[in-house]
Amino acid sequence: MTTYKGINGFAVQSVATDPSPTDEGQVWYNNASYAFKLAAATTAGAWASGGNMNTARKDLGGAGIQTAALAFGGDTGAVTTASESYNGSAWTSTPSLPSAKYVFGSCGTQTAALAMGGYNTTFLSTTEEYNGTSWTAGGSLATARYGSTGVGTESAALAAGGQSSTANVTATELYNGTSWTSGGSLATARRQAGGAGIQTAAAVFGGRDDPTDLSATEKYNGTSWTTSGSLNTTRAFLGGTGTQTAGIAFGGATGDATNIAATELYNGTSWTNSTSMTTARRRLAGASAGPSSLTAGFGGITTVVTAATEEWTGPGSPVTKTITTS
Amino acid sequence: MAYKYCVAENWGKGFITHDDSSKFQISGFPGNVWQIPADNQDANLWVNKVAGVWKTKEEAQAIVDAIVAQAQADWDALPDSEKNNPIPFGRQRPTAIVLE
Repeated sequence: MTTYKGINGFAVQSVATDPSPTDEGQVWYNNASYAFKLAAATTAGAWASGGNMNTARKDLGGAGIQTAALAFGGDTGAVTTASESYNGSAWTSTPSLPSAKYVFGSCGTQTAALAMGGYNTTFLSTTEEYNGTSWTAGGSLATARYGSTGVGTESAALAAGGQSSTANVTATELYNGTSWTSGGSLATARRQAGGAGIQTAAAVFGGRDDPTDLSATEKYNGTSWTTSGSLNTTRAFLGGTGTQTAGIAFGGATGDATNIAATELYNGTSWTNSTSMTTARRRLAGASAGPSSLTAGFGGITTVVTAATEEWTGPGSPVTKTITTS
Repeated sequence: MAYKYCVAENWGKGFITHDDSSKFQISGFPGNVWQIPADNQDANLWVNKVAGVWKTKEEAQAIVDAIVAQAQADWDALPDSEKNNPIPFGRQRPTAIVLE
């Protein structure tokens, strides 16, 4: 009789918890659920539940990747300093922001994150840097604003758009780890848009130029912005991650009231509809430093603020399936 | 498409897996209400996995309505200074949700 070991040269591993990450075609036996399992390629992207945050909140900051994310600040009903980190399964409290803020731009990794601008009774220009251990003050934005879109790394970040004390703005500022300098201006002023990419190859999509929700995408080359493609679903208050040529937009709302679950994928030119989030929500955060094929969205507001996390696995990535006889 | 409804608490990791959501559409609503396709064996197995409690559409709608009504009442109780804040931070009055 042909056996798995005979074909592959090794036996099926027996494990108590499913391995992660997996390789396509990998087979194992889960001795807790008494099931053989297979890492099979997806034909379409799919969302799955992740661990729930300890603190439900909206308008928070997000950084990192699906298996090493960071959530910080936001609005729980009151503006918060709370910060917590994610390991792909569970959230753990981490050192708090030095001062509470919400609706701010964010970027970076779990151990090198940046929070830029925001709001707490007044428009903020402050920047905070996280090194995996503590938060410290960074250089201040030239334009105090909330709702900017942040992309890049702690030492090479970009803040685009937002709302100042007087209007939605087109201003872009670039951070070098110490101070901010002016970059090219967006074609369309907007706040609370989605963002992807790095400082010299960024994309900003959707958002709101009051009172209008937007669909247009703009791409940055380190110097100037050009318009390139539009979201199929117009929205603001959305999540966005990935790169300028492989971005993902998820969640959001129109009119800051009608929540959206739709997910779209960007190829650098145009957007394609994909599998929706399981729960429509707005004002959420994303793990912004990872590839679009492995993204996490967390927090936000459905009808109430939520602690729920959803994990995206893009088309073609392995997902775990239970082997059955049917 | 016809749907069925259940109530189940989202415990986090593993509640909905990629395998689940690649087989059928799961949509979440306030009050831990989950909408799944009717006549779908995989969806039925998922409800069993998460110890979901089946609800009729009317029962599910009533749960959602109660959550929305409470959120609307909370919003209505805000002082006008907050309701009329020119800086819209998500203080819009929660809207009704109608299940399909």
